[in-house]
Amino acid sequence: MKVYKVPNGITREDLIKMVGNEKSRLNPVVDAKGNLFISKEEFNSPEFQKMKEIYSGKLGEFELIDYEPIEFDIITMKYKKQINSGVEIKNK
Amino acid sequence: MSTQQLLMSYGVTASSNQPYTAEFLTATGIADATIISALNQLEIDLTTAGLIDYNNPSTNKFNALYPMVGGTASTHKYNFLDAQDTDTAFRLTFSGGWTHSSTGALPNGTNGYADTHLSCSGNMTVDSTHISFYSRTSAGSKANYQIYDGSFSMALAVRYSGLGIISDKYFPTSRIIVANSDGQGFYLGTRPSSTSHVVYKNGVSQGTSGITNAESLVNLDFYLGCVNFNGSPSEYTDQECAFTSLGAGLDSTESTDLYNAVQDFQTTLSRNV
Repeated sequence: MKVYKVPNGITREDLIKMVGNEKSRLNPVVDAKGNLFISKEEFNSPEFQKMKEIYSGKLGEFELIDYEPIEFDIITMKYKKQINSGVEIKNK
Repeated sequence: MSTQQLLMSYGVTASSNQPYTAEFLTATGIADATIISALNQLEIDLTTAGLIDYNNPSTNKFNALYPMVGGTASTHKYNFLDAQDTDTAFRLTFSGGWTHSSTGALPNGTNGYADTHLSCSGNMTVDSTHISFYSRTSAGSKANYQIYDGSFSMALAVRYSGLGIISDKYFPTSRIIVANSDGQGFYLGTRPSSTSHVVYKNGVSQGTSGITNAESLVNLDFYLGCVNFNGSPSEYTDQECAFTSLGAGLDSTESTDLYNAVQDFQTTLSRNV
């Protein structure tokens, strides 16, 4: 599965401020390598054209990368790998 | 006397919409005759079963019920039982990647989820809770709902990859896990009492737990399509939702009635599995 890596210089906070035509929102998250990304559905959605107009080509291009999820064990209820950026997930 | 005859005796004609349906149609702008017929029949079936009562909504067995009709985020977001575009009405806020269509709402499995704005402790009653989910996806994935604070967990996964159906209510030792080779169907995890926890697939009990609950509910909102881990969305699923509800515990008769109503609803819409 491919996702779009968010260029350096654009923060998660920048992106989550944007609201789509149907009041939907972007949800930039961090993968297992620490990349902040948005999905292809979000990137290609017409309701987020504004986001692309503002950022793409000005602060860097969104790069298509392979999605590598942070793995979670629902039996032990622990994350197998901790990433300390973006959406904070802390094991108890 | 048939349901239709009974309604007509109260002055409700065949062309009238049921009250919740009428409000939902006004909010969504849906005009499709098949959807309108399906919603009216759903409301009649749930009312006849005693699961909802427009004139006495405090007795409704649902905090939120999302029929996922109309094919867009703008129509899928509404709570059928309180069709207002507000958080307090438990209107869904979609985030991340979703595909909306006439068959339901499909999250992408990487970052798509929807905040119900429905708090477990703020809006539900301990030892009387349920989660239902109509899945049109066979393949395994992650949890369709889960709230987790490090100890308390309330969850429903229709087919968790490698494990099967998972229902949490509300502590690890009462977890139900049942092998499931096909994720499609209508799933219901319910705790109707402190000593009963049951999970159903298509109206048939798949597993039970009689361990007495001693937990209190936690103040976390339910996120459709992922885990709400202490306020952070994570662990995203990619199973298509064609109906889902959150509410009070349901006994076996109510569980059967809900399944029958939902399956008839899906059949009318030609999206039953």
